[in-house]
Amino acid sequence: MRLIARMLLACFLVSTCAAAARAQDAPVADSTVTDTPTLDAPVAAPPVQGNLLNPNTSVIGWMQASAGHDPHDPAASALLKEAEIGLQAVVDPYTRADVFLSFHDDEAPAMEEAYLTFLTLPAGLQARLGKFRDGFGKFNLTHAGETPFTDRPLAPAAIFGDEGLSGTGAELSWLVPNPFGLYANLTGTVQRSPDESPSFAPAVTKNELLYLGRLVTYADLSESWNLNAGVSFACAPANAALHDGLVDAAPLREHARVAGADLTVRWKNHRQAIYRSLMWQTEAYKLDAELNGGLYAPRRPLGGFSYVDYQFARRWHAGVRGDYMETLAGHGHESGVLGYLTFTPTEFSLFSVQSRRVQYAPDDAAWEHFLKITFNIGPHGAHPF
Amino acid sequence: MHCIATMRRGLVAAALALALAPAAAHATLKVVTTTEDLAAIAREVGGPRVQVDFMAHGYEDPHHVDAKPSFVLKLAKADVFIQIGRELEVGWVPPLLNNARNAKIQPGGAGFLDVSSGVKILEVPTGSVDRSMGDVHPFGNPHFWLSSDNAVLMAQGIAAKFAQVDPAGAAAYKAGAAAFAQRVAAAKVRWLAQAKQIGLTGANIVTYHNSWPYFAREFGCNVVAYVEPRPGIPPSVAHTADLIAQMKAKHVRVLLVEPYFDQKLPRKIGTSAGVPVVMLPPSVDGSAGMKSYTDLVDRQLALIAKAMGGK
Repeated sequence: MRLIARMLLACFLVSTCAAAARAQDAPVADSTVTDTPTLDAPVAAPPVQGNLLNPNTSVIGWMQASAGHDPHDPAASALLKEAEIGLQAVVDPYTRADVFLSFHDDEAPAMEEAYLTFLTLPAGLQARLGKFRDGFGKFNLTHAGETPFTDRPLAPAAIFGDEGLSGTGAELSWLVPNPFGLYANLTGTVQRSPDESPSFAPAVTKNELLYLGRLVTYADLSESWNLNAGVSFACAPANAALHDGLVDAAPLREHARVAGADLTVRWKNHRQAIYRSLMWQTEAYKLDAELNGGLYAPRRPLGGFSYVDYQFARRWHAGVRGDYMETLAGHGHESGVLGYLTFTPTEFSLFSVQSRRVQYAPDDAAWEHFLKITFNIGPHGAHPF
Repeated sequence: MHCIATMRRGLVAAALALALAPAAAHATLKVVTTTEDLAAIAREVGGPRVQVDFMAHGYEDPHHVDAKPSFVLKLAKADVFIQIGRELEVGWVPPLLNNARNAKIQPGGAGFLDVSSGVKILEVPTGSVDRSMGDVHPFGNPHFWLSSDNAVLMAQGIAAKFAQVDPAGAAAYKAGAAAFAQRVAAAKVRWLAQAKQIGLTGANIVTYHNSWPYFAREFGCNVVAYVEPRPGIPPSVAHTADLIAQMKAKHVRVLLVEPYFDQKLPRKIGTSAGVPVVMLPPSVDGSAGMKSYTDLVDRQLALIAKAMGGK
């Protein structure tokens, strides 16, 4: 594992130096301002992007009210779930920086992400350094307030925690050339083992690292249909808490491993793109934290979720999600279903009513209902895809 | 251990080879544009020296294009990237450029061109701008290709960029832009005559979205109202009723709707106000028979003429 980390670091360092040398020699485009000489013609203003050397600043606010009762995961009646401030800017001709700070009603402020992206590496490479959300599956990359849901699905919450999988380290990704002309992106990540994760132990020494790999492909099936598919793998020191509650405790592996697969299918009529669309996304996870050849049957809990989102009018979406997760303690499984109806007055605000039922055990189920409200201020961000 | 050492040397060697390999020489410039309008003009300017691809079809709303990973593959190989700018593509182009792994086409790079820097812009806001005004374009109206003067300026800007990246073809690109300008100038004579003949010049018109100020200025018509109360905001019942009354009071001659908007409500408005409704593509290849810039305007005027009865 250390060998792989050193190889990745060597590739990154050599590529970065070459890119910097190449960028210094590359001609820089002239910037021009055209003034229109005639009196009655409109003036050609220079293309001003953003706030002239200041970062683009944005805020996404997420408020939530709930009704019903879930003794395993009780939600407050009303909550500022998150106010996330984004600061994003190009650093220099080679890199850009993205920083996201989050504030919560009932928690201390947190640094969600703060990373540097190297945009000019050769050979289809790109690198990130800093703290960032990991590309394990597709869902983990999405900030909590920007998902369609009021919660995180059972499986990623159980395996990675309520905040998902993120950490501080380095990531190198490569656009893989292939004879099929398909988009294929291979990513390798090395991070300090996460501080808060049900599956992984927080790093105590410098050698306790999380290693993550992902291969994702994309294909346009037709003008209206497309498909994203990926496989992911993560490995880090196992969290001793995985032992908690185990009746017939088997010795833990030194490392916990998570394997995942994800599939997203989309439909959109591009001639009426703002009125109708359909997305179906499915992710599956398998956690392996048992020693081979242990005295007890190994537990490799399997979980996943699948949801469909249908936009049936310009400002309306409806969706339903199913969840499944075998318990880490090895006793049965939990399942759930969530349905929602969402109204977006504009691209910059959202109102969603949601109902969720979770079956924790054959005689232990909970119903909760939510109202989710989000808003977005700042420069026009990219539409999610 | 020997295997690991060999593998390690191999990986470092491969990394060095990848990093230091010279770029392969290309016979043609690979150009990627955001819209088909840019692609059409780029082809006329570049001729056989360029290979042009685009991302947004002419029948798509250029504000709302999906940033598909397949576009990253096109951008990764591009020598030149051309966008309209003025935040027309702000909802989808930035993440594509960020993931393109192509230093040439990053903003400020040798192969990046924002054509809005060389054209005449209308409706640059003054004073404070915020989203109570709807989804406004804070740097001016970006639908500027619908002015033939701007189309010629765009062609000149594209020729200059091609010449910068491919100095050997500078004369050819300049000649291509000049030929384009001549074709547009010749066509503009008949366009203006046709606009007068069909009664578009001097007419009051209504449009669905504020996409047509350059077209209106070109042909001397007046946009008196919009179906959208504000950009990006669907019309309410009250606004629709008020709009119908305005259309009658101001003797509106035609209502223009882009093909990517809902056609049902505008047709109801048109019927109530007694005004013909035209589904009018604002971009090349927005409908059949619009393969070039001059085709686009020819077809637009033909559709308006048919709706207005040639009066």
